[in-house]
Amino acid sequence: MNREETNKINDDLLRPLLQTSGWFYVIVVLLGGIIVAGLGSWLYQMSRGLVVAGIKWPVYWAFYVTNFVFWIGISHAGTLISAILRLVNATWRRPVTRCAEVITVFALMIGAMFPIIHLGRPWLFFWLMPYPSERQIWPNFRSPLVWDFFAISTYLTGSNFCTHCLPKLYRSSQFGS
Amino acid sequence: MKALYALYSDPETAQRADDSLRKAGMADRKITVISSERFEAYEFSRRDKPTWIFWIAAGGGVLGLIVAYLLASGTQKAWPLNTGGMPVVAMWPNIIIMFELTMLGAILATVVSLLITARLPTFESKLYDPEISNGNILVAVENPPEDSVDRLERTLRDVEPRTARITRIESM
Amino acid sequence: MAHRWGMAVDLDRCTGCEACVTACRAENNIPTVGPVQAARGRAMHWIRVERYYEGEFPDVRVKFRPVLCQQCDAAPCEPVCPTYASHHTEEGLNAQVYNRCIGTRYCANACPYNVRFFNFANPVWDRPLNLQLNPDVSVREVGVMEKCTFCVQRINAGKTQAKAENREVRDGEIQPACAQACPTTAIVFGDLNDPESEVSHLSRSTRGTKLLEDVGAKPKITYLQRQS
Repeated sequence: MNREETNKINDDLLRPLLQTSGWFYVIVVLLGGIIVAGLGSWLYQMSRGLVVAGIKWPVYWAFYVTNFVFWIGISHAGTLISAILRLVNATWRRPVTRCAEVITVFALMIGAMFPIIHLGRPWLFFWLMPYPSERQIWPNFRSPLVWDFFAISTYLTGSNFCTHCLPKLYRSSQFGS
Repeated sequence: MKALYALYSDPETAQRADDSLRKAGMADRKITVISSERFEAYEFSRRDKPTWIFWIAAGGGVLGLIVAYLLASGTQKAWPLNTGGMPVVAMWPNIIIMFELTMLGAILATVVSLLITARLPTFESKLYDPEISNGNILVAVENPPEDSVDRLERTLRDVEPRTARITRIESM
Repeated sequence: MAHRWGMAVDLDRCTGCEACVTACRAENNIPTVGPVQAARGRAMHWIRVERYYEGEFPDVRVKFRPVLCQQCDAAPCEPVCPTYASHHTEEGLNAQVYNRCIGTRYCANACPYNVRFFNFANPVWDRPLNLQLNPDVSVREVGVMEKCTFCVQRINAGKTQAKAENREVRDGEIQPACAQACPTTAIVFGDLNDPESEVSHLSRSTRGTKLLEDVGAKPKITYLQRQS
């Protein structure tokens, strides 16, 4: 591969990072508007209470928990793909694995928001963390919601580190570049 | 002299350079090979000795298991709330916490030991040439002994007399 | 001897008047949610009277069953609360700590009797109803779970009074609001650990059953009804 070809490949790969058209900003504004709408809805729910979410007695768990499970399922899909490709030692797997791991991490971040949105008093969500609170009382380790907290944080840490950053760090340390 | 290096255009030549450097008396750990792609099929990329990372990760996992057991059972015993006849320290729910913290311990131990063994982040500038990004492979001897610099340069040049580019770096 | 509070409800005496419901909400500062929200099923009745119709018109018979928190011994709501807001006291009550509740609503999911209620909105009492609030009971804010506590404020007051007078708590001295208001004395409250108390006698009666006993939650309220 001579120098001209590599330069051209570099330019092609990096062009989306360095140049863009006006449509990009239009799309940013549109998607940002959706994010702001979501944030506003959540703030509205926090101020008015969960009555605006349409939940009522006797079914107290509705959309938020289901959506949480849905997004965790999506992140599992990414992990499953990268795990199976690794086990069968397919060398063409690397770009696919990279995409799958990125999907996992972002779906996890989305899914992890929903238990907090589901809470009646979300500003106190940190009581799920394992630390001695008032009068040294810890969270209830028998409760599946505390298992949720541990599982999501371990999964997020593992997906971020083990299957995403670690191989790159290791290779870069080996080859020094 | 800080480093003496040669750039080769393909991995075959780089492997020959690596072999001839070793025949010229350089120890494995003094030879550095830098490339932009992986070359797993070649011997110069497989020279690392087996690492302790697996055992450190396993140890981290065991540590996580112990911490989780102490955390769950200790806090349950510290506030022995009336559970209506069910055990205060229940094994099955605690096993889930123990599993999660075992995995977390293994993951964190792996990350920390990787950072340490790779001596990241590097504070001194590392050896690099822009030609590496163009697909060439750099074979270097870092900190060569002063009296053998010429001999090593000749060794590197003899591998590919026409296209090898040799450079000496006095300071980085 | 430690107390173990229990209750017996005589269904043959219950007339379905719902005086217990009204007394409970007056005693425990339960907010009214308005007709719109009540129609949507968000009314908070810590004790409710369930109606069961039997027979065809014109031979219809109605059966009434007041359902309140059964203060189960093996309560399914307790192991699932992540912050220990729902826990068991030494006297056998299932206590709800409003300050510790973060509104997960897992306890309500787990309850087989559906007696747990959630504050969907901030409660409001239009004036002059705010003057009616019971100072012994905390007012819950939005986002916390609540349920029948066997009028724990009355239990504590009774125990304090008995201790101040250096005597034991007498049977019938502590009465939750529902028992006090019931015109037919269908609701009887007392100490199950005291073999002489009326509730102990009634809970051993042959007419006694427990609600949803096969679920395994070990409820403490005995419902008495003619078995034939």
